[in-house]
Amino acid sequence: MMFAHVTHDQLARDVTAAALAALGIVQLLSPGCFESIRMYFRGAWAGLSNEQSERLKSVIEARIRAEGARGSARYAGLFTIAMGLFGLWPAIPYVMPYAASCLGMAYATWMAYRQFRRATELRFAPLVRRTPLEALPPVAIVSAALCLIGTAAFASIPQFRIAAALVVVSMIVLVAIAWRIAVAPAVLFGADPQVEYAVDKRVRFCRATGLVALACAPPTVFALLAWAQLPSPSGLLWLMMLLVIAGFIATRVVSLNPLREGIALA
Amino acid sequence: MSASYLVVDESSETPPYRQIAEQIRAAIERRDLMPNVTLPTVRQLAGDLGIAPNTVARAYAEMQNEGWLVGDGRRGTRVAENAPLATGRERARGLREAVAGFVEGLRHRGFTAHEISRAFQQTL
Repeated sequence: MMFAHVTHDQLARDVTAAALAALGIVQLLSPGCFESIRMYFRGAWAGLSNEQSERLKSVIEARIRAEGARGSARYAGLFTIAMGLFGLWPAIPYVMPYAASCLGMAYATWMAYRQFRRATELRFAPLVRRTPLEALPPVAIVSAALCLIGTAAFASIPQFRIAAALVVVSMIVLVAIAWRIAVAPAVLFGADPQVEYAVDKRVRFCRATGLVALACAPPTVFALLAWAQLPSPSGLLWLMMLLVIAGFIATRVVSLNPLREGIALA
Repeated sequence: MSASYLVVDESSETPPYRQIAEQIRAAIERRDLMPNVTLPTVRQLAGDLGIAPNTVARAYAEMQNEGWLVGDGRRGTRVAENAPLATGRERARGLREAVAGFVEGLRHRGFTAHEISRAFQQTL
């Protein structure tokens, strides 16, 4: 039993390290690939006239240029690789490097947004009232809360206490960054304000909900691996694990939902 | 409904709060902003324009005093139901005054009447 436990833990570490190293290399080779603006508009082109498509394409390209060279995404890639190596150290909970690398990705997303905000002096503002819930719908917030509650329940088991606490902290930080993006100003250059506003709304929604889904990923990995290590888990813990998984799936569905949707342009 | 957009030109001689008030007033007159439509919060509009919240608050306060907007506590600032829409003659006078002020500013910057006229024709 003891031998089996060590093997399971070592296997989890090796798999996590390899996955993080691969993730970091992808980030280094293709910075920003996980929050690519083009990806958010995959389904947006259907139903648009040639002229509207050209306008949308031009605004998307301008935004990509304004977000800059994505140096922060490369740093996040290096950080992810370092976290993979760090995860091989037996003294730390193996889920910690994964949670830390998710924070690195969130940092890259936030830095891209900050870079974008600095790209223009003259800014146009839509005379439309926004609420943060347009970018971060209540279903995403409730799902993340369920995921958080489920993860926190694992802290009642002494061997998982530190790992659960780390995962909960990383989750809270990621959701806080998502909220900052949801409430952040709309940055419109004024070349084509209507399309710029439509693009800003889509990007804001995808990034905010995407970060909430990312926040729910480490808890899910943690809950599944912790569950597998328990010799006789209680019924309550089973329910908590289901909450975590349900929260992750729900946030992922919410974040991916608009990718295939069209976009309304006058 | 298509949204109206505001812009603040920091290099203009017109103070930013007045630029905001004039553009909102114009949007109400064009009926781009209908009565009872809720405007962005002071914080949101200031953030979007990259200016201080006090500037937007001053523009909203001025327009509330003039009867264009009404403050409604937590529900925010709305376009007044009986906004003092200008008559055709007042609109024409407002346009003349705005153009005169703009041309005056350009003359101070050293542009000749011919240059200004040519630039207007090219722009229009």
